[in-house]
Amino acid sequence: MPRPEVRMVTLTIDGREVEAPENSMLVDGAKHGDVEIPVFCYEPKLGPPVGACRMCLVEVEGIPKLQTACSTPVKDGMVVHTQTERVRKAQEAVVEFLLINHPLDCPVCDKGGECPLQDISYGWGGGTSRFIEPKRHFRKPLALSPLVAIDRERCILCYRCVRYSQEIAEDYQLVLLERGAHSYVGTFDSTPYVAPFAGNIIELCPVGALTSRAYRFRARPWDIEAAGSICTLCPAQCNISFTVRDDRVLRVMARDNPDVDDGWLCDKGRFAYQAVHADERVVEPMVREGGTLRPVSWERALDEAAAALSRARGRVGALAGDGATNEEGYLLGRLLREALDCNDLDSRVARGPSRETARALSAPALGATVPDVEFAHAVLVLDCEPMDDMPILDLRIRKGVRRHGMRLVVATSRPSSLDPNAAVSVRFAPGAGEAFLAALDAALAGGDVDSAAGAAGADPAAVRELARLLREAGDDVVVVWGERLTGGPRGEQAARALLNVCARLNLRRDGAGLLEIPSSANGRGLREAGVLPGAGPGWSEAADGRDAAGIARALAGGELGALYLLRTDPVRTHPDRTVWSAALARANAVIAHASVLTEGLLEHATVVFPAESYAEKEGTVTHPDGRVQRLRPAIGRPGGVRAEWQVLADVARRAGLEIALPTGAAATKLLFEAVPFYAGLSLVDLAADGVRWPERDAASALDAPAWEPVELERPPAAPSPNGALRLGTFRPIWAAPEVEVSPALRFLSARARVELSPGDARRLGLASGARVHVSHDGTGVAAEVVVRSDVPAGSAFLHEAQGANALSSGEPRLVEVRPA
Amino acid sequence: MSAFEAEQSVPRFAHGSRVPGWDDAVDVNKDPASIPDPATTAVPDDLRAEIEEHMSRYPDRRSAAIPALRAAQRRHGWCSPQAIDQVASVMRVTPGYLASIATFYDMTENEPRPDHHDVFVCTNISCSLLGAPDVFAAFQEVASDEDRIHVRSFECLGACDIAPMASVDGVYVGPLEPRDAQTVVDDIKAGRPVLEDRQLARRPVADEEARGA
Ligand code: SF4
Ligand code: SF4
Ligand code: FES
Ligand code: FES
Repeated sequence: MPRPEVRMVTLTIDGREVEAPENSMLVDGAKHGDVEIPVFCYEPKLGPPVGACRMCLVEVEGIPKLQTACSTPVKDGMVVHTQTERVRKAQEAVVEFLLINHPLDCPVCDKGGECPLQDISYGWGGGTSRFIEPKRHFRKPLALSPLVAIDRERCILCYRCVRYSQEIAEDYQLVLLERGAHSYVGTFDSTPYVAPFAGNIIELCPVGALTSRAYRFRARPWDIEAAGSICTLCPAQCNISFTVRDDRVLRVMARDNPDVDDGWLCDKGRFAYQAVHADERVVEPMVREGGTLRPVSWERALDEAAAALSRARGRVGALAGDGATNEEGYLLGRLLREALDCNDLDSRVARGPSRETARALSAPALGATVPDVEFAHAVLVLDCEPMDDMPILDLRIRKGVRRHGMRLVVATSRPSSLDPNAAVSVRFAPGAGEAFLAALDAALAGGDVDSAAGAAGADPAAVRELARLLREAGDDVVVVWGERLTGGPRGEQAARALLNVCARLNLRRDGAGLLEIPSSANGRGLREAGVLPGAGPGWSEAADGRDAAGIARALAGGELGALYLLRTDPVRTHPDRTVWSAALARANAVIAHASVLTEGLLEHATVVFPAESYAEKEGTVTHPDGRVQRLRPAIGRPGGVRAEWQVLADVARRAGLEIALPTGAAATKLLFEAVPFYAGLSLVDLAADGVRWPERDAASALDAPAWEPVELERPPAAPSPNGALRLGTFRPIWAAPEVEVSPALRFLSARARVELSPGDARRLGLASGARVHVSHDGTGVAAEVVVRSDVPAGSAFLHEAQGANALSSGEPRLVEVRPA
Repeated sequence: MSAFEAEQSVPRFAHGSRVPGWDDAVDVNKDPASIPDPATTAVPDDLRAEIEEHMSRYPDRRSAAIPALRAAQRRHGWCSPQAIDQVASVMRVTPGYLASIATFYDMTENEPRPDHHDVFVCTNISCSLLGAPDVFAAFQEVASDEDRIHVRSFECLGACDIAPMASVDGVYVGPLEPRDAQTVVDDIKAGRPVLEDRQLARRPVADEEARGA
């Protein structure tokens, strides 16, 4: 539903006239008059107030009893008192009551110094208690999960954590057990509370009952500093605050930005900071000597890299990914194009649509923002799994459905975790996104749905229903789609079909449009910085070159001699692992920026530059919705690590490029000048919350004319299983090197698993937990079977972990699953 | 004997509950309890049918949680982890949701209690006015040595017309006098129907149809 209009009303608080938004709660309204009303259970992010703790009692003239300010909406002309004797006594009583069983733990409590209960006891409590009876005592702390410890003595039963689990994350694992004075926070049958967003309860708990096991007793609030930056572990680019003590990151907390993350973090973002200080981290430049990588001086590493690249001039390919910044992408482009005369560089994992079509897809008028997802009439989740691909967006979608009546429709190959919230879910064969879109286009245009739906392996009736819903839900429709939809040889056709659908739904309007989830954390920024074959900074025209798959083939075939890897290891992340292994083995030089030596680099890199962690980086990244955000260094770089923009510039200079870069800010300036639609931006403008470039005047530099629906090609039919299974792959949220090297998160590292439908499992004689071999044409990987009743028959979904990319290629394929 | 009827495995906690108590940590090696997949959770057909029937009566399927838990409890003897998993799988809710309900209400059992009998003596207004406190005291006294007979006071059970009354394993009997307590206990121990002449279900009614409703 579209955003409600806000009307202001006037009320009187403690004798002062205050303007506040109508229907806001008194607690929030009072803030407009600088009056603080203490709260425990109230947290507007958790949805409607519950009035559980009674801390917020105030006097409202005309109402005989004291009212809970957290659940009393402001009204025009209301007269409120928060400082009367009656209110003071009531608040004191509530504090006294809450402290009856609360232990005197502050000196040994991890929350001490940043604890709302302490603050409120000092501010609003009586200072003494009439209770002399012994307090309740329990064993503590106890594990609630490998990540969270619970201290049940300290819990004040405010319900925040369980409301969060039920209404925000919707995992419904954390509950209140028993009743009345016996109530306590727990889970079913002693299972741990492990879910992608579970860590948020640590920040929500207003006392020291829920604490981070990774942070417990590492620091006191007066030992630490907070440093704001951006999490670049996935495309969601949440705004975070690093807790720093003695130049070490000890904790990550949310830095609420309603336009980006809404104040939540996923557990990867919350705990993977440990990778910054992991032993596995590369902190010195290395060069391969006699088969092994050995630490060397910077001079030597830079010289060797530059020499190898210069030798291969004209025959160098480059890939960028992960958390590479816009500046680094821009410098990489100049290194390749200007210093080395090469055009083979890519930041996508598979070839995307043509430059023209891609520009049409990123046209500012067609871009949706993150909040648009929440306030749209309908959202289509297309060929992506937000929970894995851009976790925080998953919460935003749930919020839209739960709080604003947004209608959700899902069209994916793999069953989605959003299915239970969706009005319609349509399944299509893995890789058949184009055919699905052709069917949807036909349904919206009144054409022949059946043949395209057949090619997609989708139910035509469900496609029609989905189309009807999108048409009838309202004007504001947002399509959230994953990069894989337009990756691969038929990317162009899929992109055209998507543009057709947008045109038919008239999505070039405020509050509607497209939101693409790129496959790497700064995918959008790297493309805009020009890390693409055939497109320079700002999607400008550039000489055509090879895409990632082409680079692999050319390296393996000897046409390319060297490869520059900016924070990516294709052997690990790109489809066609075997081709990539061969390509890297054949290359004369593989120069990599890396913080962890992943398999491809360990075996084949010839020069490794230690990469900065996101806590050390400066520069900018671009959020999938076009928000340019600023990274600020929170800590110094360990060991010999140097700024990567500087390394790129040094290599480029040695390879013959004339470029003077005194500071990181100078690199940003060059970038903003090179990308027409970033023109006029400055680091100062980006401030804390970033700036969405599509909303600025300079955005017209990318404007594409409105798309007129085109005649679509007949999509190829998805391969029919015929006894084999259609292979779908997906990357779970935990499949990241940062997760593997973070001690706290290691237990979650993605395992090689394959999901089968119950029918197929029965036919193959397999049960959950069975070890199998999944293979295609002689190449295979080992995996463990997970039988899921919502997997459509005929498909197998492989988790992208531990070499599973050996099986994936850009195209749909069939696999055999046999007991290992 | 099918797998469903097999004895419950030994409870994990001292008090036999499916939930850790105040003093218990979770078992971090377990998998988190998300909604159990029907493909891997076996549910007896009749239990499934009964739960689905309850679900069909409400606009929101969650509303069927209490009757569904009671059905599983009849089947398993108590709300065992397995029973809750089965209900969760059919209702497509998390076991946690059901556990919070099962521990909240009195008529869901959280521990295995083989061969156990419940006597709920109503002590609410109508029954109290007609002597319930004495009836309750009598029951407490005669059952004090019987560890299989569990006597507790209850709020209005909705049968004020036979006040003072009690519910014996779900069978309503009344009006009661203190001396009936011994008879009830004897009947339970002998496995006989309790106080046959004073069961609510056997009272004459003008409209026989109403009895079935
Ligand atoms: S939760 Fe807060 S008030 Fe309680 S012991 Fe910890 S610091 Fe003190
Ligand atoms: S654990 Fe913390 S958040 Fe949860 S109910 Fe207790 S005090 Fe509130
Ligand atoms: S904050 Fe108002 S009742 Fe808890
Ligand atoms: S008061 Fe006892 S049944 Fe109503």
